[in-house]
Amino acid sequence: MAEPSSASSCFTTYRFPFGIPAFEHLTSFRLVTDPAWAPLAVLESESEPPVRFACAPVALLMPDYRLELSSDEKAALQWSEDQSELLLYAILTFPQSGPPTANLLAPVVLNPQTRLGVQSVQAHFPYSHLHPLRQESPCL
Amino acid sequence: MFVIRRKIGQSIRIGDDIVIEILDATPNRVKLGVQAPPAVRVIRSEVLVAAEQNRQAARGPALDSLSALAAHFRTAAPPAEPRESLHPAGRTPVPDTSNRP
Repeated sequence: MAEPSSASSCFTTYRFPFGIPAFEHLTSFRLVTDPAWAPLAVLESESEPPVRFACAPVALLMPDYRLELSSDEKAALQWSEDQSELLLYAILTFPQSGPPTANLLAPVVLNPQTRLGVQSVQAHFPYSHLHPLRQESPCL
Repeated sequence: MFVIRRKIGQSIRIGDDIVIEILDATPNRVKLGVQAPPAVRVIRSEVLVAAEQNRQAARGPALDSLSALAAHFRTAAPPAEPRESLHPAGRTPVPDTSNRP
């Protein structure tokens, strides 16, 4: 993906204590937003070169999405139910053929209060890691 | 596939140094305890799926593709405030699964 920074971009840095699957060594990511891609966002590592992911808010893809966090994940986020709400993003994949897909199996969970994040595998729900973003969908 | 019936508290051994114990079982879930040498990676299968998907997603689209996709969201749904409208977890209790297998 091309360099996402522009004059209108802004970002918040989150620390991922566990990294994310396949990139466990990357523990610091920026959530980059820009009016040009809103409501989508880019998650990019603070490594060199950076690893970048396009993301979509889970609530836009599946308004009734349910999240379960383990105690380890809550500890990593320094989050409890009485704290502020969490941000949920699904990582998008753009295959060479077919529509883009969203990984609802393993959303990125961000605690904006502590600036901590995890990618949480929701194995107990039948969410797909290849949720299609069909352009005829009401959400699109 | 080797199939064996076990009860809670019983275990199976794989090779000389891997032990899998049945800690708990419900109609829907089984809680396993795994003892293995540090060099043996023990991981849920779904994490491998997420890892492979992350590798593919990291190849990413050009930014103009992202902008085009975003335009579909904007035309079909009311503009979302990233900080306020993306929190299904915050509006519904997030169950603690720490005691679940």
